Amino acid sequence: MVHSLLGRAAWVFGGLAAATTLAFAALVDRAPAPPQAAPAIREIPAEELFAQHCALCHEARAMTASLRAKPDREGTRRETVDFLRGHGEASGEEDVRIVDFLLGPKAR
Amino acid sequence: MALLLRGMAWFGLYSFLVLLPLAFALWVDPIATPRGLWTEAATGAGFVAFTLCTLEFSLVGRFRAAAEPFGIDALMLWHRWMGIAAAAFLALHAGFLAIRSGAPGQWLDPFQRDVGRATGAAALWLAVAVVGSSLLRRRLRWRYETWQLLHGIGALGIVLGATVHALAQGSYSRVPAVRFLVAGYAGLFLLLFARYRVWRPLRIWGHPWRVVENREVGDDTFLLSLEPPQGRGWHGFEPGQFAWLITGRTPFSLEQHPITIASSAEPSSDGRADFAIKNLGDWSGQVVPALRPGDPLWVDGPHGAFTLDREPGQGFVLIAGGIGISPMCSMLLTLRDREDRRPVVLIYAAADSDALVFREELDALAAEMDLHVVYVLEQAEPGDDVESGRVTEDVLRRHLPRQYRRFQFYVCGPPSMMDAMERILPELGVPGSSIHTERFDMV
Repeated sequence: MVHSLLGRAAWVFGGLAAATTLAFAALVDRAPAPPQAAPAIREIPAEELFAQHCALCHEARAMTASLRAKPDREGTRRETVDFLRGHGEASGEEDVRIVDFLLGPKAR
Repeated sequence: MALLLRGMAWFGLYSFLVLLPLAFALWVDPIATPRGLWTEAATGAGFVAFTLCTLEFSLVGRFRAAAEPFGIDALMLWHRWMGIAAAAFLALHAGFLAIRSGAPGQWLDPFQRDVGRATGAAALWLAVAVVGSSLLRRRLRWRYETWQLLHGIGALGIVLGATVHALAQGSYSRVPAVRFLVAGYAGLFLLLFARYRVWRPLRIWGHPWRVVENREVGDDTFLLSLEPPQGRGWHGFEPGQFAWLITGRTPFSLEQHPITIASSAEPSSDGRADFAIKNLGDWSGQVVPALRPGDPLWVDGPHGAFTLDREPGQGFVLIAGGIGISPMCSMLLTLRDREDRRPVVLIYAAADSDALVFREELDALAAEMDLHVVYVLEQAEPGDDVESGRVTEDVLRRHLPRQYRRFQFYVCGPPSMMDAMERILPELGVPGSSIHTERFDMV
């Protein structure tokens, strides 16, 4: 009889695992904190911004290597920031911080 | 009761290990701002798929302590279901990421340059291949040994790919504690794999059993008598249990098959054990008939929870189909040797009278003990004192004793017969806890 029960038990176990996965997602993806409590973007480490907005599809080391390989660093910086404005969901300020993280800070 | 508690404890530990990384990730939660429900659901599905994959070997690694409450065949069935679940969670992981990123291709291409994504995609496709080949082995006409080899290599590839993917790509695995946990699960898998594929064979390598006799007992079935190595015999087994017989040059051979012991479980002076093996093609049709007295082979056992020593009952009903008679023989011989006076009904189904093995032995046993044997033949000849057709509710009603609800029922035979009995017996009022089955026909 154990065998006929196992199939049903497997479905229940799989369903519970799926429900736990969704609960995990809902808990982790909690609503953003109220604006007054949110840290200013400049306070968030640039690495963290990259992880939030880019790391899902891009690897930091590869991106850095490819951007730094281009000869005109400031031109590359401008192009990349412009590109990021139309790509992804980060704000303009976040785009600049991410590019700084990848290319190094802007020359003064 | 103790077995039930042990079963619950093992299942609790298994569930805990499956869900532990989710709880741990929730606890460390290194992501400061929300990434979206799809992304987090993908991460969660990835964690569950990873743990299910790494724990698969614990189910089929022949751990006696863990297998005892359930039976190894039940654990194998669970392994099968959890393998399908792991592949489904892997697909959900990739699917959610594809939806989130809007670029499905980058999550499915195992040949891309990005190591993290390539290994993840490779693990996904390997999981699809491993599950697919297990479900379709017969249609693909793969030999069991070929399938087993590819299954093991595929499993190793899935876990290695998933581990590299989780360490290289995962947002959570930037936290050292999560990396440690991921590496720990992968290490556990490798440890179990090494125990199963290296340590177990090494342990029995120097202690082969020997073939004493190998004779055909009808219906293309061979009765293999084996003698244990000097001083290394079993310290007893329970009637109905089985062992893996390993043929080939070493116990590392892939030619290993679970075969039920057909002899009495009462200790004998020479410690011999008999195994009835029906020719079903492959190993049983090519290797087994060629075994000669003196040939070595290795025996990994005894295993199994399909035994009448664990359940109290006023009597026993044994329902066998085809080679499913083998464990019943062991049970009957043991009851006879123990001079157990409890009544036994044996219902033995086969295609025709030629397909009945051990008929003379069973008839002789019926004269020695309180045993009522009922033969059920699909093609009965006129004048045969047998039931005609299949084992149905009517056949059971005609032959079961009045107090059958207090008996223990053991069923072993083709899947269709087992399915039918698992449906009919409860309808006849037999409690589910009194119905015991054993299945190994899974791939």
